[in-house]
Amino acid sequence: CQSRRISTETVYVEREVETIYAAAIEQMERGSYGNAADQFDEVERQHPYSEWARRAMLMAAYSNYEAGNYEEAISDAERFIALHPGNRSAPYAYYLVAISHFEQILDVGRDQQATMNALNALEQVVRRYPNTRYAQDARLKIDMTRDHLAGKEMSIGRWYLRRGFYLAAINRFRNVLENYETTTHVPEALHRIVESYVALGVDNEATQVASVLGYNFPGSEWYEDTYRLLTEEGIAIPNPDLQPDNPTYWQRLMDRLFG
Amino acid sequence: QATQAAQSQPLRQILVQGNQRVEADTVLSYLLLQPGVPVDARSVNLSIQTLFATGLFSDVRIENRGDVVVIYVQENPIINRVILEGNRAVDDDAINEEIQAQPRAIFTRARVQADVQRIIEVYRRAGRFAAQVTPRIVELPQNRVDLVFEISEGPVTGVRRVNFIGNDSFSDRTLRRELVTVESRWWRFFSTNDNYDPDRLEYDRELLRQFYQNQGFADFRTVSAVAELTPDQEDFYITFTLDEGDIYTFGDVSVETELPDVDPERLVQYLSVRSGELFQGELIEESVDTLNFAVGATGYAFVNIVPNISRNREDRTVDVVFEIEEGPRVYIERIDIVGNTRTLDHVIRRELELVEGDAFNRSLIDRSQGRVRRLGFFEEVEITEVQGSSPDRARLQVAVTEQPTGELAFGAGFSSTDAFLIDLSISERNLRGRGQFLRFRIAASSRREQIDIRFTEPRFLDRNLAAGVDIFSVRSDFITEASFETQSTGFSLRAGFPTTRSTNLGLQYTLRTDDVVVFAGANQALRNQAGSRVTSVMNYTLRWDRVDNPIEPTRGFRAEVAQSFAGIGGDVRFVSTEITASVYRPLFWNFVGSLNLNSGFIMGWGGDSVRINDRFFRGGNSFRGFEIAGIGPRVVVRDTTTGRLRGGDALGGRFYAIGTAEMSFPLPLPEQYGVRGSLFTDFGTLGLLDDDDLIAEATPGSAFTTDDLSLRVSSGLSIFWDSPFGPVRFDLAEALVNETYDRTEFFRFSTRTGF
Amino acid sequence: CTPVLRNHGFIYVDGEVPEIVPGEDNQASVLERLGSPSTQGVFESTTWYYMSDTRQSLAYQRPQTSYRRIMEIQFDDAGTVTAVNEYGIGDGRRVTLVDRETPTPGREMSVWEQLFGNIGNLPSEQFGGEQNLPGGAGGPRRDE
Repeated sequence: CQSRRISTETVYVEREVETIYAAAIEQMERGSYGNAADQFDEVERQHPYSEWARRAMLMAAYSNYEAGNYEEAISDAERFIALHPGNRSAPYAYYLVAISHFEQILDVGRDQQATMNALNALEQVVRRYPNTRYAQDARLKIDMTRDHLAGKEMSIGRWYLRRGFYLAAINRFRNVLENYETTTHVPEALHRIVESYVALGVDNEATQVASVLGYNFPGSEWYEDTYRLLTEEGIAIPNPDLQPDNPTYWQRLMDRLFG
Repeated sequence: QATQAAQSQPLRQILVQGNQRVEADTVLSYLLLQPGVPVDARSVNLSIQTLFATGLFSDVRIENRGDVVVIYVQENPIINRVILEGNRAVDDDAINEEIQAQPRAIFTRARVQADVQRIIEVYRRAGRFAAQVTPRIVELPQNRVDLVFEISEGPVTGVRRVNFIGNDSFSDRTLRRELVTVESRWWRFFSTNDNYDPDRLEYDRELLRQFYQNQGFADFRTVSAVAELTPDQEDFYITFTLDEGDIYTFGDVSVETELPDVDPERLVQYLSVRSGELFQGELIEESVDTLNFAVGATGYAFVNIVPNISRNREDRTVDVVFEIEEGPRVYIERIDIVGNTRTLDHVIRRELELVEGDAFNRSLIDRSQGRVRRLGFFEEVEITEVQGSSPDRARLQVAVTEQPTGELAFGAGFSSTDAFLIDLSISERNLRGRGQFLRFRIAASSRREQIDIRFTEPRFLDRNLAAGVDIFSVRSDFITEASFETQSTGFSLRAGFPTTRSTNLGLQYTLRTDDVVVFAGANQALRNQAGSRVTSVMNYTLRWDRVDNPIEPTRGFRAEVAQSFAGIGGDVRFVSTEITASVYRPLFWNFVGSLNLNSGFIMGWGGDSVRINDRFFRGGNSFRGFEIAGIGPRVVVRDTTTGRLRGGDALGGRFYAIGTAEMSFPLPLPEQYGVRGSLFTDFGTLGLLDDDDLIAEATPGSAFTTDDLSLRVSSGLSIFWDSPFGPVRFDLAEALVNETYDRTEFFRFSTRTGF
Repeated sequence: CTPVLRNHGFIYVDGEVPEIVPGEDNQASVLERLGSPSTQGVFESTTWYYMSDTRQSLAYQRPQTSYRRIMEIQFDDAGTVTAVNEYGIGDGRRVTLVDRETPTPGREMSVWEQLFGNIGNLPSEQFGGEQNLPGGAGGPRRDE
């Protein structure tokens, strides 16, 4: 190839790989993760085939995560997985992708795309490496993300309920019961359905849902609210020890959390 | 290329050679060959293809030595640096975002070619069509390369002029206002709409068609939209040749349906399309909307309404038949809102006309999309429907892309009355993602300083009710005209809601302290009005607006009634009523005639007289030909020799009535200067003081007050120039009928610019 | 000013309510005549509900439900209709909703933050962020 003058401002110094790597680690220890990430990138750029390059790629991802630039962390980690799928640190790379998405979750009033990405990535960690310590943390975070998604369903359901769109509200709360039955929103969803059906005047549905709430969450404030609402409206309360036809809420909740 | 595997014994071992960066087991993980399984040509070929597909390798060869298979791989080089040379108009980051080649990424020929196309596309969007990009590679040790993109940008292809041929009913300027493409002006450095872009030209043709279709030209066609390069190759001349065709009116209009108990005659009256009226494309869509709803209300939610239009050329009428067909019975089971990283879900959801569980209705979906767009918080709003959980269920997805809604505005102005005027405001239209509006504003001029904070919640208590609060502190100086200065500080609460489609009602409560400081030499009556008082005033305003275009009305009318009642608390008691009404009619050759009346009356109650700062002052912009507070009651001294009255301080008045007849017309200057003129005549009066403000003429030569509601008339010429820096206005006016003590003014000038 | 009327939920074909006869009709015939139900029983899928209402909104007032009809169709396990009940607007009650909400993490953007631009997203400690797990956010241990 013909020799050409490479424009001066991009002068870069070819440095020994160990010195760059050491500089990066030193930056990291000082807590300036942003520069550390750049230094690790430098290692990989100048010595792509060295043993250090592979490690630097993962460290760059981790530094970007700590520095809060989650998009870079995700792309670095994914590049590591693409190049070294069988490597011993691959589980950590998958985990890093998952927690990077996890950190970008917005509150329930806003777009939940990051929550969905986090959920898929966390489930991948649990599926691929079930008995690593990353999977254990991932399972805990999965419950948190599912709880967050349930929170969004509830906030929209409540919005419809407050405006008197009972049908829309009921279907949103039913969605929480069907798809998020292990989340902390279940008791409230049940109570909201009781409120909706009482407001509609469909008492048999209201009493049935109330009994399931009573059976599964006897101590919860939500059951107290339901109890007060039904007595105020003079609707007979079925005795709580009525056997609901699928008693699995409580058992499934228990084994899921402490299983 | 796989060498032929003669005998097929079970495979004992696979060797990988030539890999540097990629680990052997990574290569093995992509292979279909497994130890112990006989090797066959098909699996070898497939392995090669999968290895190539990873993009990691530039060459893959598999050699079969019976029970051992050797895989030679030649890895693609790694990109060390991406260097862009020759790009001036577009900076490196803009290009780097678009291309895939990044430092540390893998170099493949295919990706580089794709990147070349992407860079050319970036330049095309920036209006440079002649840009060329040549990639070059600099080999580096350790199988690395530097990738250099040499860019020659070529000239900016702007739009020098947009001409129209065949447009005899509308001026070039009106048509130009309809287009998105604008002519390049040196001050339009931010806008990219002045760069030539063929796609935008297509969109402009559509805009022209819509414009003409709404003015009755059913046969309108854009014959051609031609862009020729200027001789100096810098810009394009764009010429639209139009064939307007004739103006059509609606012929017979009918509704046809086979749905039982939907009676077409009744529905026809709902239509906004009336036979005999001017043909307007918009009205047809509007009628489809109203029909959709009217039929929906009778229990048919699932209907398709198809307007088929037939033109009869001879009598130039358009017949429209609205056919109502039964549509599929589909319900919306779920509405998801995505992309709202800042705006809260319910701020968008409350704008939707549909609720989960409702019947699927196309016109309500379109209307919802329009309403979310009108929030002004999003670049794009797209409502798409997706198949639901069962055949008769659909799911709506409302996808929005947020745009910045905060704004820092700085305005400067100069006018003969206010001398120099600046104002600075920071505002946010979508506060905390809740759709609320918040603005801090500081405005200062030689006569007035104002600081105010304004907050508005558009959907107060979840109702269609906008409510807001303003906190303000205003100092205005009338020393020269009326030798007093007021400082008022306070807050006001307001609420407004639409009563019908074209009328709305605004309610407002204001509590403020007005501190009047009187210039030492003022007359006794004024001096005892000094000091500070608390004003607590309730006000309602009813607006009725039937104008075709809010900014430059050419047809229709507008009216407003505002009444204020001060006295529930506070030390000031008055009732004031103000009415304004204007009518606009298009005259000949694009002239627009307008008649405007505004009148006000204020009266103290409970024995109070109206203080000077609450009285009306007219003159300057409100009555051209006279200075600020130039007309109305005044403290005067009679010149003992000539008997003429020499005017002193203005006193304002409790009643005014001013009319304006105006005819605005385009000036013969080329249109893109944006200059318009208007001949006007203002006529009216101001007067009526409380008794204790009157001073009789004790001795000849001593000051006394005059208060005769006499008629003043002025007429003149105004020039409006919509200059690149903002609107500029010149008023030349001659006071024809006035009192000797009035203060007249022949020339007035004002401008404002903001960015 | 005239109120704006709007129909919500299930729409009956050309306005009248079809006759569903207990004992004769079954899930298939109901599906064929009415389409799938607006909602089903929360815990018993053998109860179907068809809900529809009309709301009236006038200027700034809060929209009022002026008409509501709920058709409750109960089936036996074999899927034949056992009972059809109707509920109208009259059966409705005014219910004061509990305003407690199950908490979800995530904080509002403060006014200044929004005005002066840096969009804060969810700080990690909201989620018990500091992963004190070995190899968690602490990064791969040096000796690996």
